[in-house]
Amino acid sequence: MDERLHGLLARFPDADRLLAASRDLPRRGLTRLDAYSPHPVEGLDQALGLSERRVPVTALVCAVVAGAGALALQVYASLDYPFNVGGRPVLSWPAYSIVTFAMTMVGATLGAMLSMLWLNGFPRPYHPLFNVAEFDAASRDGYFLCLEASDPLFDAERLREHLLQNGAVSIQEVPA
Amino acid sequence: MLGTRPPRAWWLALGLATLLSLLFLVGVVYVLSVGVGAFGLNIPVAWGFPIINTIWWIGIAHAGTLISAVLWLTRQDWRASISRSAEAMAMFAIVLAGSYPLLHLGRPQFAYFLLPYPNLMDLWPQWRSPLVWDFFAIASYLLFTASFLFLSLLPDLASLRDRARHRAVQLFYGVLALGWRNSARHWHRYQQAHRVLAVIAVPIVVSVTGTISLDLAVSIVPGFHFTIFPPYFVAGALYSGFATVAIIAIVLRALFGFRDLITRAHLNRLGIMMLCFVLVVDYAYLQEVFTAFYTGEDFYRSVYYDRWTGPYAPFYWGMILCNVVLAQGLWFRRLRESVPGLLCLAVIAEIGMWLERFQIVITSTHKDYMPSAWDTVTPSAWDWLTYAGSIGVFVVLLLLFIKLMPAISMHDMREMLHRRQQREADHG
Amino acid sequence: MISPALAAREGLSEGQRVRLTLAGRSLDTPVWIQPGQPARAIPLFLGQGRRDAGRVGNGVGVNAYRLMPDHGAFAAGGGTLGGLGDRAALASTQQHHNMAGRDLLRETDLAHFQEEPGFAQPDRVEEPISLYPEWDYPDHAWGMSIDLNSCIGCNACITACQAENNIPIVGPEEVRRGREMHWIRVDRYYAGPLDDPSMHFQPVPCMHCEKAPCEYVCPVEATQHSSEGLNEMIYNRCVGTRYCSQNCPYKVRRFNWYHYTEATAELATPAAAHNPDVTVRSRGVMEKCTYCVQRINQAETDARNEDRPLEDGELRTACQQVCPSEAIEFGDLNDRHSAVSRAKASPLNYAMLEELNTRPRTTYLAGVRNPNPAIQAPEAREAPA
Repeated sequence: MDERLHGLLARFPDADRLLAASRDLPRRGLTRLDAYSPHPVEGLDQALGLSERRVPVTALVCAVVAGAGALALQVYASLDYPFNVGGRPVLSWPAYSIVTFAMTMVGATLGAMLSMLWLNGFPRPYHPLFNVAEFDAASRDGYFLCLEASDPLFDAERLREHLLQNGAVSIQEVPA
Repeated sequence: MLGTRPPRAWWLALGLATLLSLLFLVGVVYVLSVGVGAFGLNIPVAWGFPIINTIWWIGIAHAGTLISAVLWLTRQDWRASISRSAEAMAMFAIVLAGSYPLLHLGRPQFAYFLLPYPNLMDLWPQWRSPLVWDFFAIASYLLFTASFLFLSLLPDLASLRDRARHRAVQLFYGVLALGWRNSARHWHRYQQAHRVLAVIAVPIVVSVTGTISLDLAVSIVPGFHFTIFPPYFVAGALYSGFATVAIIAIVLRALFGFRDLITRAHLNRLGIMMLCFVLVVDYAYLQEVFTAFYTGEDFYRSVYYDRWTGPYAPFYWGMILCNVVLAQGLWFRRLRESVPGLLCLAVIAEIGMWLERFQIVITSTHKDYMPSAWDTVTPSAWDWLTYAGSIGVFVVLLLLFIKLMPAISMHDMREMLHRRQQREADHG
Repeated sequence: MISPALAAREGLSEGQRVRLTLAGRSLDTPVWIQPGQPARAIPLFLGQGRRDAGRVGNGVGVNAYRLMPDHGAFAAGGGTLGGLGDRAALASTQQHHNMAGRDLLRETDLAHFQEEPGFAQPDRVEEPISLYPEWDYPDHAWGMSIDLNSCIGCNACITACQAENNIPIVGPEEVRRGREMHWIRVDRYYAGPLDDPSMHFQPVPCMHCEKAPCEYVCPVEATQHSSEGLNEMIYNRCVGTRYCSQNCPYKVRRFNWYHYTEATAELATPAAAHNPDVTVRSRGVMEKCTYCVQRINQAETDARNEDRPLEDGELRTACQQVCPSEAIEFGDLNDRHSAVSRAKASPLNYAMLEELNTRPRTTYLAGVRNPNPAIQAPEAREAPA
């Protein structure tokens, strides 16, 4: 095959057919493929085998770390330079809870956002798919499936047939 | 918004709001150069407009978070068309709420002392102070709202990038969109992040105004020292916040012709949310009076007598008029669904909530423990100027946002329509 | 000054200007309504209304010499009073003179004291309860006791404190707004009927509470408790949130709303008049009575250098030093024999707003009056609560 080919881009008229195709092609052994839709489509994740939960797990871990860190910071700060503040005890647990809580929220927020950006590879302004003019529709009303040429079972001819069987209305080559 | 010329009303509104913002700038510069004495404050009433306005603005922000996050979690589809403007409104309200405490400080150039940074003096913030809690609460809320807003904007920024007709516009949105390709993988992680943030929003909505109300509740001042303050302030915040969302929704409908997307049903629901929270606020008013008299303490009783009959009684009774009497108009569906009706009720809500903050903050210290220290304050011109100006800044930020970003979340609407079609297909 | 009865009769309110006419001469002056003034006599103050006195005296008040009779008598009858339309804004540091039923200033007469010696300590608790731990003050534990029997309300303590601590002058406009900077104030309360009240004075410096409500609300620990029991105010760290003043129930804290002390300020004290031992505070910081910490530190340093213990009475705060009736006692509470410890052991000793559990170190000795029946009105007078 032409090494300068990134893959095949098929356009489907609606979400259902995209979903069907996304279920069908992995069954035929394809692993390097991705679906594109203007909004999240239910069932697409399972079809493509996307089950990782790294974002929420990272958020949880970051939340716990940030909260524990905030508490540790407050305890350290109070012991490092202890003051007699209003005759209160040096370690004021009820007072520490609020900042700890706020930092837990910060940890979860940053964990979720940063892991989402990192896992998605952002920022990534350049991608071969942007060279296909029709791909603009992915953010409007187009439902696409892209089969990458790097897949071991990639065979442009056969795959074109499969895609047409699944209801694709247009198939284009995506230059790398 | 791309390529379309904004309606003339937008330019007019921007012009007026810019003028107000200039007033804000003038006020800020004056106060920073001359001193906090420019405000109408003294000993004993050392807190006034800056604190009142901080609480007012941060309260307004809460409804934005509730709409975009909590209503999403509870699968209230009607929120889809207003959630974007609500989030943006929250963001800008927090920006203002965060700048007012700086204006309130006697030495704002040292505001960084509240930051826990390692320093040669071995000094850290004093963790028992509610102001330190405030700092963290507002900062975390700002970070959260910015993240949530940006996250939900990402797919729309990509849409704007893809529709751009000029290279410069495409670059602008392209840089912001970070390369979003609408891939299923992107959506997968997006949804996970969105869910995490929406879940975090629940404690945030409940806690941030609560933390700020602790500024008042943790002190020993009679009239401040009520445990009902955190839930009371949160309810009040949501009441005024929904009122703001209602005002913005009505303006968007009128300015941009979004009548099909923001329907009377939406207005009705916003009115219902306002009603729920104002009833909690009304209960809290009763509770405060009960608590004040139940304590048997003369200090609390006399604060209440003063609120009812003293020099600031017009503010108290004005608050009762707005939040207890006129707010009952929200029971009537016809008023909720009518544009002028809901607009009036929303403006009344804003005024009523401001009066509430005013009379809590000012009357409690004006007549507290020592009669020899009792005194009154008169708000100065700079108080009013900066307040009006802050509204101008808010409107400017909102108008710019509406011009540059989609005022309605496109991908949200698409998803909602798609789900609705699926449901109809399943039933049909 | 005029009595409330006269004000009511003439329809005058505070600050309203009137024209006083006596023997063909007239004087325009604002009125100041005070209970206890005679119903048909008007006191006027001589020495005001000057024109060449510099910033202290120019334009302050009116020149009452204009009404003085030719033979120089200090009283004259037969004058008239007529209201003028306008009103002058008067500057006063205290707006309310009624204790509103609170037991801030405790006083009684001798008969009642003999019946009930513990009247000043009605709710005394031996071991006050607190959720918070007790802190130790092993070295010195400074405390103050103010005897309300001796205080005559002369205001010398205020002046001394101002001189000692570089307290800025803010001017009548700021005082009208309630921004006077006095670290110690003398509260004046009236009790009883308006035409014949009793007058009570109470100097109020910082209470230096052991469980100070002002300390725990400062976000930057600009106010804390020292190891000797002083509530310290650290000007350098203060960012001016004013939360401490909000939380002080005694309202003894003052704030620099403007830059009162800069050299170009309208009423700036000349630099040479400043006490070099005390910091001059800039705009935006809180300040309050420090128990003259500069004097405490100086005395302790001297004692340490001379390798001897501090003696009671060696160290006096500025207010204590000038009080003509020696109403203020200050000293080390750890020393059982110090004057202040003896004063606090008296059954008359009480703390203001005790129920807030602030544990103030500044306490008061309740007043016991013994008025001579011969100069009293025939009906028995009521002792103020």
